[in-house]
Formats: sequence, C-alpha cells, structure tokens
Amino acid sequence: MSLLGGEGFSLPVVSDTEVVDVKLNFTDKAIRALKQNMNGDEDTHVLVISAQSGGCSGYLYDMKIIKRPEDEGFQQISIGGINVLVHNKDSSMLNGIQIDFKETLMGGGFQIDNPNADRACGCGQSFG
Amino acid sequence: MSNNASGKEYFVRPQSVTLLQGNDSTSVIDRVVSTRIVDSPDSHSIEVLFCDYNGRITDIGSIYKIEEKILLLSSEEMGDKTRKTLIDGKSWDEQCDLIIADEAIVRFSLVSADFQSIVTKMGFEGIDLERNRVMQFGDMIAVKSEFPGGSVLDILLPRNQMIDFISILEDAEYSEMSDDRWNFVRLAVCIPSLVDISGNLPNECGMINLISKNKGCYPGQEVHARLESRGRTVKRLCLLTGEAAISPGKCRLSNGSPAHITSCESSDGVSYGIAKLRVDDIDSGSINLDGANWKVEALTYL
Repeated sequence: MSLLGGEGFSLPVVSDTEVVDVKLNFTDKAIRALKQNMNGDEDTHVLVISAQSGGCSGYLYDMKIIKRPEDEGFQQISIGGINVLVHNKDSSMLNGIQIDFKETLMGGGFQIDNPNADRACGCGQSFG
Repeated sequence: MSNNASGKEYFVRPQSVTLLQGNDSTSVIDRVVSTRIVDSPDSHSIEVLFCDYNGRITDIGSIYKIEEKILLLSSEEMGDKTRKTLIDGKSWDEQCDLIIADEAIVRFSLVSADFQSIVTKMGFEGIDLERNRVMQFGDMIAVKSEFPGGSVLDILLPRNQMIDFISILEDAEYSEMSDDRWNFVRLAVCIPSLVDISGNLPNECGMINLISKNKGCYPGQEVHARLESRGRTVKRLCLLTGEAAISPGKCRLSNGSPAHITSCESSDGVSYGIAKLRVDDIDSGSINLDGANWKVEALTYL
C-alpha cells in the first residue's frame, strides 16, 4: 500500500451546478464565419462552446469544432444549420451569450459578450 | 532571525489534503495558481498561491508531484473553496478527479537543528535530505523546506500509521508542540500562514517568487503584471521581534502610523508578531508600539 492508495480517501469530488436551458445569440457575421470554419462538415461535426478555469478573471471561454462527443451531458442548439453544444455544467455561465465575429488583424475572431459576467479581462477571453 | 527551537519538536498540522489524478491534473491546477507548475520536475515540492481576480491571495498550497498524481496541501480554512475552484474550472473533456484525503493523510512538521537522527530512526540511513525534494520512505513522504529562520521537515503518512510514527518520534526525543508553541515557532522560522497573507498582494507578503511572469493568464495576473511595471509597495508584512506582549488587530504606532497585527505569540520573554506596516516604518528597522520597542524585518517568505 502506498501513501496515495490507502484508507480514508473520498470518492471523486463532484460539484453541484445549476443547469438552465441555454440560449445563444450569434450575429450574422459569426454564423458566416462559423460555416466557413465548419468547411462542409456540419453533418458530422459540432461546435462545442465551454468554460474552464483560468484567465485573468477566473474563467476562460473555449470553442472547438469536433466530431459529436459521446458525452450525454450536452445541450444542442441549432444555429444556421450548425449544431452548437454547451455542456450542462457550463449552462448557467454561458446562457444568453452573444457571439460576434470581428475581422481585424489584431484581436480578431469570435468575440463573446456574456451577460452573466461581472467582469472580463482586457483581451476578452476570460470572464468571471 | 532565530527559531528559538532549542530542542526537537513536532506538530501535527491541520491541512486540507487533496489528491488530483488524471492526465489533465497538472493543467487544471496550473490554470488557477500564480506559480508555473506545468514543467516542474517530479518529486519536488512547489509552493503555489491562489489569488482572486484582484490579485489578492486567497489560499496558499504546497504541490507534490508523485507517481503521476498531484498531492495538494492547502489551508484548512479555505480547503473546500479551493477544491470548488478547481473542480468548477475543469473542462468537460479534461481527465482530472479531485479526491479529498483529509482523513487519509496526516502531515507532521518537525523542527530541529538536525534531521538526520529521525531519518535514521525511520530506518533510512545515508539519505541526504535535499531542499524541496520529495523523498519516499515506504508509505511516507519527507520534504525538507528552508525558511528565513530555519528548516522544517514535513513528513506525510497514512493517518492509520500516526500512532506508530509518534512512537518513533518519541524514541528520537521529539516532543509535541501545542498550538501556541507551533504558532511561536512558525513565526520565528517564518513559515507562511494564510492568517497573515490572506487578502494581501504577493509583493506585500514577500512572495513575489511565487509569481511566474512567463506562464500567461491566471486569476490576478493582470494586477500582478501592473505591479511589476507600475506598482509601488506602500505596505508590507514584517516580522516583529520584542519582549512585550501584543494582540492581533489594527492599531497605531507611537509615530501615528497605522499597523495591522495579524499574528503574535510570546514564549520565555521573547515575542514575535507579524504585522502589516508602511514601508517607511519597516525601513527604519524598529518601531515603538504602546511604549515598547520592536525590531522590524520585512518578510521574504519564499
């Protein structure tokens, strides 16, 4: 028996999170940019928007185009024929976000405005 | 600074002990601490700070990377909140389980001029205790840490072996410290405690070494970056050494400057305290408080 494998350890910690029905708002520019990035893979791939710890303000946004995950904890929203997934654990943090796309050489790309955030960092990638 | 720990003493430290396991454990914890840990070597202890978005310290921890797992020792008072920060910040696709080990692992802190005798008593002769190196002795882990006022040997072991280990300590003539005695020793040795540093900026606590400027964003990073370029430290934590008794709380020095005493303890005519003072008052080297003189030294914990 080693120090890290004996008696008295708990089961993995699980956090209770509030689950809400997610609504997302994409601007026309964001939908166009999203379709361009999907590159015709709308039938097999999805956009996952999530939040994770980090950034100056506490949480970071993450956006990934991936094959549909097997995890059943996602909510699916159809945006212009593209399936967008938000995990239940992130639903209360991401509900109501407005996603825009800015074409600038510096700091361009998808921009998220989050009505649930009390603060955001200068670069716009983190919130809290 | 002298630790006034003439003999061999030990203290069973109340701690939050959390085990993180899974391939993404390092990145999950690295994103929320101010200290870069992603490329830190295995079998070394690393001190880390948890800060809020204002850059102020919310918790302090020691991280041990062992057997591809991470053991986090953090403050007892903030343990659940720190764990919630970690688990809430895990992304849906990250592999990282947090397991509470408060009841499984116990931490002994040993203070002595020489730790070799206890290592020998534990049955491990010829072991050279290197600073911050995590040494595994069977089911036990030993880590030697050095502070401005002396060294501490931390021993982590399964709680069900605690009684046997206390027998070994007693055979080696170690005596158990009371809470008050530990408080006195930790002040003398300058072992950081959340009671002193919580709510302060790292530079105010002499903990700038726990800020990694090359790791990118983490909670509080914007503020820490500005402190580096524009900040001026107005107040700092310092060690008070004197003979009189003082009490924690806000007060005024004889010259009218404000002071905030966060910890204090007296033993055998020697008193130590931790106080937040204006830098000008610290630079003078001594202060007068309620008619008593105190030697003042700015703290540089780690």
